[in-house]
Amino acid sequence: MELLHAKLDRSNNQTPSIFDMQTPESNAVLIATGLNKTFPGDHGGLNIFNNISIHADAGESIAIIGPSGAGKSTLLSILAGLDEPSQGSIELLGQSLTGLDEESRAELRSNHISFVFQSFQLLPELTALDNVQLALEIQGHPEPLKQAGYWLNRVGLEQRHQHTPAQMSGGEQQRVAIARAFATEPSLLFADEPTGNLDDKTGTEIIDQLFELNQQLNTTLILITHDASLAQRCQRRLQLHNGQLLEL
Amino acid sequence: MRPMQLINLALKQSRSDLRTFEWRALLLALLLATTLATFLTLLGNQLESGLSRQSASVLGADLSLSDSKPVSQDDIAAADALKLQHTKVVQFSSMLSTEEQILLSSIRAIEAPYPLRGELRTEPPQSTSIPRPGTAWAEQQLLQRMGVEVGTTISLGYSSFKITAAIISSPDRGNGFRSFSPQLLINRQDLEATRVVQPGSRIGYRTLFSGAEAPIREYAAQLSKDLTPQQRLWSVYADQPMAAGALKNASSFLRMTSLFGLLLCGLLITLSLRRYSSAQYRRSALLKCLGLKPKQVLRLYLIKLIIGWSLAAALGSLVSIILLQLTGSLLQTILPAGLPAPDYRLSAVGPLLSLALLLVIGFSPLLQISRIPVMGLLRRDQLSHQGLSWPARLTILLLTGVVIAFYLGSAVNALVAILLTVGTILVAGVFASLFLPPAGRFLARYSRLGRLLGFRIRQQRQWHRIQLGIMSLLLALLSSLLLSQTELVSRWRAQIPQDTPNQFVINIQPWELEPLSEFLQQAGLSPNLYPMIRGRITLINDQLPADVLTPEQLQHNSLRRELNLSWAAQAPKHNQVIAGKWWQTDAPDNLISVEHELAESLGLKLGDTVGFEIAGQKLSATVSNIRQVEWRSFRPNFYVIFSPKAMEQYPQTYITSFKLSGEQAELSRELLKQFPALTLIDVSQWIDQASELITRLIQASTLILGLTLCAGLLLVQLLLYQELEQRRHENALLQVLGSTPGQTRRLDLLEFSLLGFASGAMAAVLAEIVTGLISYRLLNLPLILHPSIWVLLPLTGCAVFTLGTLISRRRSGYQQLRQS
Repeated sequence: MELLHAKLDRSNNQTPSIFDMQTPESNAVLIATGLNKTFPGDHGGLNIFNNISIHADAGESIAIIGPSGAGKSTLLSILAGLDEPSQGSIELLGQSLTGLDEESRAELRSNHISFVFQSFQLLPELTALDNVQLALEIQGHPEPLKQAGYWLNRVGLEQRHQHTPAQMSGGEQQRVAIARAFATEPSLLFADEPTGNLDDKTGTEIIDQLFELNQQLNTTLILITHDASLAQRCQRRLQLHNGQLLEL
Repeated sequence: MRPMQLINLALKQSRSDLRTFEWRALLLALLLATTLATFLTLLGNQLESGLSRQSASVLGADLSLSDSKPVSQDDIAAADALKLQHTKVVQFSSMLSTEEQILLSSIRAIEAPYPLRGELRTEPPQSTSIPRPGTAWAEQQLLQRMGVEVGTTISLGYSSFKITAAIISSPDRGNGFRSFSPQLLINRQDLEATRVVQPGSRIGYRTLFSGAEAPIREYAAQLSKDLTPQQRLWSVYADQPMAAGALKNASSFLRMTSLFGLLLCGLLITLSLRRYSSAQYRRSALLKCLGLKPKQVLRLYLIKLIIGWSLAAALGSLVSIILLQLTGSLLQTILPAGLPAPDYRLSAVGPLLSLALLLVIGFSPLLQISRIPVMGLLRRDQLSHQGLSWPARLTILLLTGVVIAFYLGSAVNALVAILLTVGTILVAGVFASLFLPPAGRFLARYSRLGRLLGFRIRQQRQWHRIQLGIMSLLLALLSSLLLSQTELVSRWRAQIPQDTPNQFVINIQPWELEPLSEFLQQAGLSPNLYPMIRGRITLINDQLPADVLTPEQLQHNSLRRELNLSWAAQAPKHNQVIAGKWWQTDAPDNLISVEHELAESLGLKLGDTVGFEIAGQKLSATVSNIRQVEWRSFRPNFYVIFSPKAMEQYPQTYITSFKLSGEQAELSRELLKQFPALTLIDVSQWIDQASELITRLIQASTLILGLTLCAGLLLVQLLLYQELEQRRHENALLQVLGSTPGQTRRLDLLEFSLLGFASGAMAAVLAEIVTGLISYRLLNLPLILHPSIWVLLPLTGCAVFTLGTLISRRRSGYQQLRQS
């Protein structure tokens, strides 16, 4: 209920953005069509992938697997609007990313997309509370401190608000990263090898938490992983191999 | 791992590290440090020898001994033993005559070689270095006054001389009033035949010496031990006859610039090393995981630093020599006496200095790299460094001080520099903690960017302390250099202002006062006339000086000769009373005003009594006040001025000075026609020479200042570049979290403009302290506050850092997050 109130407050106080005003006709959160990525080089450039298409619905969980160097992270950065494809189009919540300038893409990320990284990516000198609050400040949340505290409590870090990353275990740091990712209430969450730096037990705990929140909040989860067992927990599995994306 | 394997590994890593920003930045810092230190050392050496040569060219020698009798054979033998070149000069005043004119002139009888330093220029140019027997060379002023030309024959005593050349410029004009008279140069062989020099004649004998610096210094020290009251010694290394203070100041300015350059380089190396070592922790953990021992890791990085230093040293020496060649042509015009080639052996100083600094400063980061635990590979938090113990820190500081002291040749200056640096870094830490968070909170109230800045300040607080310290020290050093040079220049300019008198009139009799004043007023001149009485100090507080003064004080020149005394109802306008009060016009007692250096040398205080012998009569007076006198003002100045009543009964003449422009030359002839008993001394040539030298000093110091400022700005830029590189990762994360590139750019700008403002504010305080120290310790200038920098420095810091951020900024992206 508290979360719903927070959501309601935010929608009341914030200036509506072009994305808030979108009402997608379908349930699709992400539609990528004909993506192609080539890095320029001396011998005609390096082609990472060709003609890739993805469709992700709200609340869906998708694993993208593939060997190292297959281009999984490049695909993730393109899907999240951090990089641009050489060819192809992406629609996020009914809005085409290809037509947007950097400011609008940033606003889209801030309001609808979150990330969880293998190496946590917490700012080392900031406390756990500060790290979560920072994302909310960027989003322009009306009560960033309250919301950050709520999410840290929700991931089980009630006693760790004022601790810096160096004072926490790897699992705890990843929990802070998850709290930061969900605190902005994203429609789409990208997780890039989220258990890569954790032991099995902690990794399983983190993944449990990730899927639990994915279900509760109906957030679409796109997971990049090497871990076959982790991929098995997702509703759909896609393999990136030789520049092609195959549904398994 | 064997040593050769370690060297191979270090070579490979150094090559591959060229792709990393931190290693490139460290190499660049070393390159800048080596270039700056080498360039300043070579330039300093070149300028100092150039200035010494310039002043030697005024003296005509490296050392000049003047006496009232010929130099002793023992002294000549001692000079020969030290392989010094020497020549003798006899100088005296005598009347020259033609059929129409007579003129009191200063005659210099010289022998070859002459001069030993500098150049005697004549028109037409002569094939011999001195006049041939039977001929003479005359100054232009002499020719004008006598109304004769080259080729005329003039009489001196019982001899006649054909003037074969006009002197355009000449060193060794002698000292005292004799040197101001128009001069005639004759061959010493002709002196006897003139029969002008007779027993009892007032003759000045001068012996000039030249040679290498060490034997000259040694010989000067030998001579000064046994100087008689009649002897005076001038050395280009101890005191210059012309603009001595200006030359000394210029030399101090050079030393100070070198010190500042050194500090700037040290700061840059420190920061670059810290950044580099932080980036190497992971690699160190990996190397240890692969089996390298901590000592081997330490050696590996030591070898890498030496490889980096070798590259920087080779390139830096080359760049500094090229820079020196480029500035050489400019310096040639600055020093017409000729610019000596720099002592290229000194080009080793820069590289050696940067190596010493690197090893001393680099010891701590290297130790930290070698101490990183293998666990760091698994737990990133284990990769943070552990601070050094206080004894280790103090040892590093001490060693840095030793390096600086060795370079500067002054332990005290090195200590001041170290204390200043450490003090600034510590105070900056406190200032950063006190200023930046409230500033961030203040800005957070008004915008989202302000709130992000608040997070940035929290995230970077450790680095901000160091950055603020380094940046404020850097800005303070540059602005202190600028302020000191500006003060020096204005001081030099004030030394010879536009209205500096170039004509002195002495021997004015009391009855000539009124008609002379009228004559001068008609010519548009209204100079002050000062009474002049010759007298000797005989008693201090009713006791003989020998009974109350130390042997050192007794050596003071004022006790060995007659002083020019004066009396006045009002204090001279160009003197400043610094202790006591000037007397009432009708003060009944015998009161005196004493020049402050004399008072200091003889230990005279207000209320002391001083006994004089004036024209055979004894007179005692009480010290009423102490005056500051600018001796280089070219105005009549006196060691002692009496209250009017004290001097009433003594015979006195008057002295005055005024400025005549080139077009007013006729006026001096008219003056001497109307007042033939007066002695007119034309010092215009001296003034021109001094102002020319000062102009060149200003140009030289401006050049050095400009080059150091450029180097300083380069350092600021490099520093900003390094810092912004560190922000790329953070900005990438902010962009992933939803910030736009524009927002992160504005955040960087806001952060660095705030840092620039804070650094500027701190630098203003520091610059006042540093400039004060420089004025007091090095340049002997009065302490002045500079309110303008309180506003200008924060704004300049803000502007420089904002501009630097705009120039240096690079794009951030998801790539940075994947790399970490």
